[in-house]
Amino acid sequence: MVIDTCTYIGHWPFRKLPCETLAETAARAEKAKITHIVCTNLNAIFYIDAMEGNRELLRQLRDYRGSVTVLPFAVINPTYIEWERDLRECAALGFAGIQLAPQYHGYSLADGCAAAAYRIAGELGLAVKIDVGFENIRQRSPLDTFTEVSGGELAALFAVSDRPVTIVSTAYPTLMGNEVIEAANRRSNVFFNLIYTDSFTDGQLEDCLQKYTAARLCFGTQTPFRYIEPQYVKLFCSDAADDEQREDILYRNLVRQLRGC
Amino acid sequence: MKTEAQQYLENSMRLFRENPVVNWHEHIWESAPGVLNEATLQDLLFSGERTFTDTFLISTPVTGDPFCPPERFRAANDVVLGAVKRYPERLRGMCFINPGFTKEALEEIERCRANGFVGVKMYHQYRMDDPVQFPVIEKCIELDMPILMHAGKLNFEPESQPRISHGEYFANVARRYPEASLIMAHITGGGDWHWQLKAIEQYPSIVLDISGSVIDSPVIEECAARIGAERMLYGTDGSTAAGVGKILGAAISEEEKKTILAGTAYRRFLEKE
Repeated sequence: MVIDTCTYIGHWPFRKLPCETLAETAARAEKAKITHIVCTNLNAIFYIDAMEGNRELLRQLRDYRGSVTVLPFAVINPTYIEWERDLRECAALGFAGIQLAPQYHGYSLADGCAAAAYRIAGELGLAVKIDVGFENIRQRSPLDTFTEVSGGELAALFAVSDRPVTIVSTAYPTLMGNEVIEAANRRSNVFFNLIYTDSFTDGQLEDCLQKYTAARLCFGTQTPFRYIEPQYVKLFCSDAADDEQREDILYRNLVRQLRGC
Repeated sequence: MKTEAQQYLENSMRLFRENPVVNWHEHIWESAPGVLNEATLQDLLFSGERTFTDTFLISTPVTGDPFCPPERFRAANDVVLGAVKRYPERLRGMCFINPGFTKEALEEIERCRANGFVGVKMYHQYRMDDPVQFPVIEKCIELDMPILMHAGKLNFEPESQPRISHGEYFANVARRYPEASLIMAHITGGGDWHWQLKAIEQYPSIVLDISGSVIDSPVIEECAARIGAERMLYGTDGSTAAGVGKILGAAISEEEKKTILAGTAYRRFLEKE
């Protein structure tokens, strides 16, 4: 079993991605022996009403016939009208979690609206995913935002409630600051994926294992923004993690935590 | 017992196991000027063993000193020379110079060439098309040595590297010196790779290396489609998992992957005495 905590469908406004549909994203995962994908619709981030994008994802999921288990995550914009009703509807519709995208919706995770969404998601049994950034900051389109989620924001969010399973994606986990490391380690259900680390470079993976332990780490690929294979190379070609730690990272930490696993 | 994911990777790694792999962009570093940081060398060799890399082209650029006087680049090259002498089957040298010191830079290229160095490596002390580079480029043409130049098109904080070379500057040099062998470093080193690729597309004397931490899909496919695998060199520049993984993951033919890994177009530089 392999749980990929970060995949997408939909259109990215700033460059052409190699695929846009659920069938294509899931096929990439299946080829690489990934069994479960956390999947969000990028369109839901950019549509003025995120729910239109969330429903698109559900429609594609209804038609999906492949073997990968898809864990749909809905985008919630807690600055938009009736967001709380949207959140409750998403729970009823069977979403496994929500994704917050503060850098595109104009708020901070330290704001009250984010705290409220986080707390309610926890009450509804929904996981919460946050992408620190989507593209490498040095190459972003000038039309994109250069704002990334900060360590301080994450630490503030983690302190709001113990309930939501929380996935932090595309962070440099050990460079987010001690505040985040301490806040994450106070929780048993906060996980960082390792998309941006490289096991052979400066001991990054070793550093993550030391500061967070394997119990706080998880697997992710950011398909279709990025290739899947580098994530396996870092785990399997180096000695940074032992077999037990690899299993924890690949699926064991999350398998009993996420709806639909 | 191996998991399916592990088996998938092992099967994919056959490409590296069974074919020549030349890494055109790697470094070893100093713990003090002229003193090898042994751990950086051992880490590199370890990564090479695990990823079936036959040959590393290594340099020790002086990245923290924009003025980098001749004694500094000579000392850095001595570090490389020492490592190459210890592991001649695995390592080949790239000569780092600061072109701002013309006479000393040209002398250093000659010295390194006499010691078996393959090419010249430059950082962003000067832009690629700055006239201060011309004597260096002419020397490399005379000695038939490729030039590996730090490169990037930074859309965020470009002031952090004000003299970094983007593709247009390489194109300027290719027009002036079409016989020069130019390697535009790390297309995936961070920066606008669309810009970089488009800028050099029409200049066949410019090749690129695929090193860098960025693993954007489908960058490898785009490069192969637009300039051809024969103008692409494998490299990692400190990001081994990224370098290996993006070749494995790219939807290009196995022949194209082998061409990139072998650095087919640039083999002749390795075969010379």
